[in-house]
Amino acid sequence: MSGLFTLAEQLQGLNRTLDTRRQELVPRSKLRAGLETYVGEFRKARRLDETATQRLFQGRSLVGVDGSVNQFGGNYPYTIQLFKALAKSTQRDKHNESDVEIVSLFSPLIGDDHRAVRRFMEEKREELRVAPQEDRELERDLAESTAYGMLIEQRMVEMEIDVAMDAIRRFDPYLVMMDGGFSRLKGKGGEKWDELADLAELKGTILVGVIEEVGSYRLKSRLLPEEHLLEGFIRGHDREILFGTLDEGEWLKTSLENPIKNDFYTVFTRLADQPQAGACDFLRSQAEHADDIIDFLYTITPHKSRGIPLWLDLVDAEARLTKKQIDLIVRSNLDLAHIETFLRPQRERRDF
Amino acid sequence: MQIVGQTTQLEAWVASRTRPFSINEILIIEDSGHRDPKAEVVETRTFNRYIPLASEQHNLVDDSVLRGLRQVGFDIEDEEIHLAKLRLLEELATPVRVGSRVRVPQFSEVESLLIKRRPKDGLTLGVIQGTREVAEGMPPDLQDVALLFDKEDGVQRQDGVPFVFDYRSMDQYPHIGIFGGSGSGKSFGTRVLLEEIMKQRVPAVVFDPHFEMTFDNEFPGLPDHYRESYKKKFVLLVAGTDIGIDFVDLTADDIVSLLRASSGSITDAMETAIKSMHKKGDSYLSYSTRMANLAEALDNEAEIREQARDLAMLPVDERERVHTLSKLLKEYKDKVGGFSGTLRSVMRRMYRLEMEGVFTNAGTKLVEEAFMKRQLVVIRGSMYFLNVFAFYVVRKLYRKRREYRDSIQKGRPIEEAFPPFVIITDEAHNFAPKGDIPAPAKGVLKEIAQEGRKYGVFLVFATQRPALLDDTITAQLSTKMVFRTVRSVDIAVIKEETDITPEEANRLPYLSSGTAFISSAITGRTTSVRIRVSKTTSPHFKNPFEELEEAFAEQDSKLWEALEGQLPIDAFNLNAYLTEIGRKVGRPVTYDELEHALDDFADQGKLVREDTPFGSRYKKV
Ligand SMILES: Nc1ncnc2c1ncn2[C@@H]1O[C@H](COP(=O)(O)OP(=O)(O)OP(=O)(O)O)[C@@H](O)[C@H]1O
Ligand SMILES: [Mg+2]
Repeated sequence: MSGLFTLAEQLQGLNRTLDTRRQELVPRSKLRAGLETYVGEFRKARRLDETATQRLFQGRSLVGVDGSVNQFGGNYPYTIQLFKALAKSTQRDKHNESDVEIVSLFSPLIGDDHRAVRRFMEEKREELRVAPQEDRELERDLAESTAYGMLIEQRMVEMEIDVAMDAIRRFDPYLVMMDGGFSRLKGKGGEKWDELADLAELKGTILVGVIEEVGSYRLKSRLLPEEHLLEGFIRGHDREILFGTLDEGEWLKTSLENPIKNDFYTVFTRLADQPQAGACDFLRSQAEHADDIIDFLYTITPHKSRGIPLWLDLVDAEARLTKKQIDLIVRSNLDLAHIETFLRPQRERRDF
Repeated sequence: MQIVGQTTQLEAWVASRTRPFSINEILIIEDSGHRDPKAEVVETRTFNRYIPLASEQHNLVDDSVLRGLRQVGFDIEDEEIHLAKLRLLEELATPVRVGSRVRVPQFSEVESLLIKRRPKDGLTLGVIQGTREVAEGMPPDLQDVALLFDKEDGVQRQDGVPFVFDYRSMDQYPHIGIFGGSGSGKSFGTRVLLEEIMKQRVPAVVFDPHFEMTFDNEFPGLPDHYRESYKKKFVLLVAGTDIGIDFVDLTADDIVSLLRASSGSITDAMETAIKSMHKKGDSYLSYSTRMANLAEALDNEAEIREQARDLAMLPVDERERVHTLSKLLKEYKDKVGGFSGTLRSVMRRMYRLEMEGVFTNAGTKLVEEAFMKRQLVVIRGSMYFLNVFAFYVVRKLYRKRREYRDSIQKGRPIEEAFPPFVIITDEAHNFAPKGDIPAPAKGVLKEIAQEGRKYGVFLVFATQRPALLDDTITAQLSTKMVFRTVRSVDIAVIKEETDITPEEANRLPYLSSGTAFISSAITGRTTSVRIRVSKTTSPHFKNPFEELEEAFAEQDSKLWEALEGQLPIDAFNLNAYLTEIGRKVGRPVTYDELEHALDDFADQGKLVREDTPFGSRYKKV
């Protein structure tokens, strides 16, 4: 029991530190003034009425893209990953379809997949340095496992890009919303990402990456000239700086000339009544559409929500595989003996 | 439509994107391995897989959000999926194949299931819910026989397969219960049932405590081909006038239960007195005279004993009296407890019944005559009055029928022929209450519930409170029509006593007026039925508030006419006008009422109130 008291005391200590820091925070108005000087201007998003929406979309559709990856089993290599990527259009194509869906399976237990992991490991030798272990085999497993984790990310991104491209070809949408920012897509997707961006530009489809929670230090670096503005922030993460700084429906339109990320055009948004800010990524070539798109995103975001446009929320839910679904499909297709031998995580055997 | 999810040999789920399912509809599962089994929809669901998501954090997504999405081509309402739980009509050896296609049957494929009798041989009570599509291939004799009614749109066409009750199977599965809360459609449904009983010319007797069961007002707005007159098929009898209790038929026990029913309760002493003083074959006169004499004797006991010692001393005309009284004293004093008050209480109660016309020798003659003409007899009276009569009437008719059947059975010389018949009553829980609450007719009704089938005597019991109805009787009701029911104790009884599924029971509180689950041993299943429009209507179909206005307007105008001739009227002398005005109005008018009326009329400007030194004076305008 006494352990708990110690923890409680330590937490109270942390609380005091945070309190003191917060007292040093500059007033909101000063912070906003700083952001206006160094980052861009504050805009009010508008809820579009029906004709405005129609004028914008010209009868074309809206597509949301999301993916999910789920694990079944235990530690590497006794594990299976199940992927699902979904692009969903608000309108149906001529076959009365509205979804593009890809699923796939990835597991070191499968020979080809294992070889892919090994190959990836060779390629990324430098990045994948692991601390030397006594047991050589174990050391290799560890390296492989890290490689595997990176491959999973990459596969997921590739699949999301694939469904997005397929959806653009099939539905010719006016707008494609990707779940998450563009850096991840570009970073993991490489050439595939470039292909998607080209296709979108070619077809006149606007791409937007909707970021629920901002996660970088872009603003901090801009505000450095007036360092006092950053006092009171623990780390000065964008998330911290923007918390409560925007009003509902307000967004920070970063300067086009001096954009905040190098490759894309990023703006900061608050689309619902939650005080956290989000962000949207656009292609540089499509930056001039940001005003219209933010207005539209604001229109389809419920006031009481976590600030994600409803359509993306729906796609997110549909792209997910539930634990029950996964269990059901794995257990009805693999023999119990295999599951017990290879895939039963120790965790499940614990009684408490 | 397709079978989805898990199936068993008895149940399956069917899904459709476009077609909602209706409860109780019958579908065919195209599973050739099982010879295309039929199944019934027992639960329906429609869900929108997006709406719960959208509303996780908030009850409803802002309308503007949905409008925005609609503009880009997505209508959340189109994302409905209809699901229905199917129960197979016959159990299979193995589960239904998942993925089987499901279709609406042709009429001929389900005809034998839905139609047990043709309308001309059965009671056409309404339309089976969920049969609109199946009904398309129906032969002409099933069409246009059960029009429907809707408060907003009036009389509507029959949109489905008619529900024809196979009353001729009641000899195996007797008796009908009609349950439902206030305003659920019991009376309306009972009326329809009675119309059909009349159409089949089945003799019946209806106890009508609400004064609503007559059949000479036509339901407004019926098309010509659907109209029907029942004027010659029923008679209306007033309890206490057209029918009465022939005292000679009563046993001492009967008298006890009659008095108990009519006056709430009687004491043990009274009961003993009633029983010990009754002699078989007593008329009202002989019985009540005996009692009166004994009371007199008890009051003057000493004197009578004295006089009786030497009768010869008395004047001749007194001798007889004293002799009778002293004999009564000897015979009964100890048995009745020696207290005349007891006897007087009994007599007061009997006298009241006598005054109300209960004891007339009209008996049940008019009912019997109507039965011979295969008519329906409606007996009217207040609830308490009917309770008193029902026991007598029912017992008498039942005995007649039983004797007739028994004499045939046992090859005895045939008594007077007496037809089978049906007994119908609303507020049945008053006639046969549950537990040890006494009611005069309870015994005979229970007997009929258990044995009536053998003799062709059937009950139709309607009640708002099935939970208060005698449970032996409830258990004997082979067919139950269950309308909207809200009280959970009543729902519990219904669940217990019918084969209604839990899913159906859940719907009971929400049924619309005129929709019933008919659960019957005759069909072996529960059918959801919209009761047809009745062809006649109750005499008081009026809005109660309109009725109130009209009644008072009439009263006012009568009073005004009577009063007008008397003007001017002086307030200090109102009493002087009461008799004359009362005579003209046709009922006694009190001082208060007249005073009020004058003020009202003055307020309405019909007359002028003038203040005089002696008080107000009311004058013509
Ligand atoms: N089969 C029907 N079709 C259309 N309307 C109906 C039907 N049955 C009942 N209704 C409507 O519902 C109203 C109430 O019905 P009804 O008088 O039969 O109720 P109830 O169950 O007898 O109520 P209570 O127990 O209070 O006497 C009717 O006046 C009528 O408007
Ligand atoms: Mg009623």
